Amino acid sequence: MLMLLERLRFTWWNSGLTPPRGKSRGTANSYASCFQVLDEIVGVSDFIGLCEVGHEDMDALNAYADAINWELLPLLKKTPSNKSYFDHAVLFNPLVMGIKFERNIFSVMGNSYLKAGQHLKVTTKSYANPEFHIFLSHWPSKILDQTMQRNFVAQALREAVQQLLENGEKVILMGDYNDSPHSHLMNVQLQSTKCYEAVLSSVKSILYNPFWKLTTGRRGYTHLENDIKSLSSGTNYYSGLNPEAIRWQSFDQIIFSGSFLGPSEWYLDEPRTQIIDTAAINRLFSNKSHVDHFPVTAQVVRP
Amino acid sequence: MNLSFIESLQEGQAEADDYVKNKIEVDAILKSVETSLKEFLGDESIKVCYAAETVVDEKKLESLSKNNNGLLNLGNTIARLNAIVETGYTSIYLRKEVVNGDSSTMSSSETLFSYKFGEQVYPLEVRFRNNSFFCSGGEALISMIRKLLSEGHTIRLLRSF
Repeated sequence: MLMLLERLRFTWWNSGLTPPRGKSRGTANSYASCFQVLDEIVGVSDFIGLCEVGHEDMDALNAYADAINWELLPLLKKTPSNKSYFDHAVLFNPLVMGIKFERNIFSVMGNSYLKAGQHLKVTTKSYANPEFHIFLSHWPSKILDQTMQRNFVAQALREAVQQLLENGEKVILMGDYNDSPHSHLMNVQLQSTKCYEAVLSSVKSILYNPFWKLTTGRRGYTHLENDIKSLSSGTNYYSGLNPEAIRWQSFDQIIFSGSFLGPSEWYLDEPRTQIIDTAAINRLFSNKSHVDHFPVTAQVVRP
Repeated sequence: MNLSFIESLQEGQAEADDYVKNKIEVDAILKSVETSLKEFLGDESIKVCYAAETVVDEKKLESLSKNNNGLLNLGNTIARLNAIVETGYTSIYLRKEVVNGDSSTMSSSETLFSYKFGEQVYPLEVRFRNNSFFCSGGEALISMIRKLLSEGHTIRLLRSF
């Protein structure tokens, strides 16, 4: 039997507090909803990547971090054109890990700077002192029909991780990619797949996306189900018109380099990789709160 | 069965032609940067230099240091030298001759920016401070370089040189 020596739990959540190009929704009610979700995920996380947060939310998030003896790392870096900024922040447990900001990744298209992601280095406090490369992303929405922009950011992120993959580094991508795991963008452009064999045949190139398998929901329909609305099958809810006739989308994903599957020091623990679709968070979706994304979480272990 | 491979070769030829065309475009852009820098600094003797960026590969260093025996300091220095690897980036910096009485020395600036070619030259990555910019073509690269040269940081770097 393998002994578990160490584990790290990475969580991603689109908080919806300050939408891109929008004003902060930072009211007492929205922070209360936000903290309710954080309370649900702090216990199963060491690292929480957040998006849709703005400058006005930092005091509230700092106060929350202080209350649980965690730290907040704001990553609200502006684009060179000053027209936009990365809407990311990280909450993390400083007893478990240290984080260093590495770089912003942009795709330049004409005079536009598109935000492809932010690269962080995470080191654990353990003896072995391993280093993880984490990439946070919040990509442009499909609603605005920014197909070309979305292709460019995918290409830039792929280029940014390529050398690390070739060097056999431990790479984790997490974000709201505004597209499904099986989309052309995620599958072909970013080269992430659900197929273990494909990843293992090309460990230094193809990424593994465990959230592909989680796009269909955990529970199936039966006539005994009391509340059909609780049968979520994704990470975010969009009630508007879309050609795929899907209201539950799976835009929030955590993706791994092949080094977490093959012979390695650290492994993906897939049974503990999931959408945190608890009843309490589900209730927030329907209670006119700003919350419209479930958090997603994944665990890596060193046996 | 068609045993002709002409179509495959033509396809490869088009890609190779694209690479050459893109490389010529990037070379011309970098040459223009060089001309503008010399004009701005008012010193024709300034040379724009290109150097392969290197780092110490810590994993390689660790493994080389394990085999170290005796002559510790010398061994560590040799191990460190052997652990230096190229990152694939090219750094751009400036050099000029500084005359001090009868003698002269060469002075180098800090790196202005570094870059790395993509598969077809583009997407070309420009690294500047804590940013990676992936430029999809010549227009994007020109816009990017204009932006980074207009940064106060760049001007301070040029003034301190």
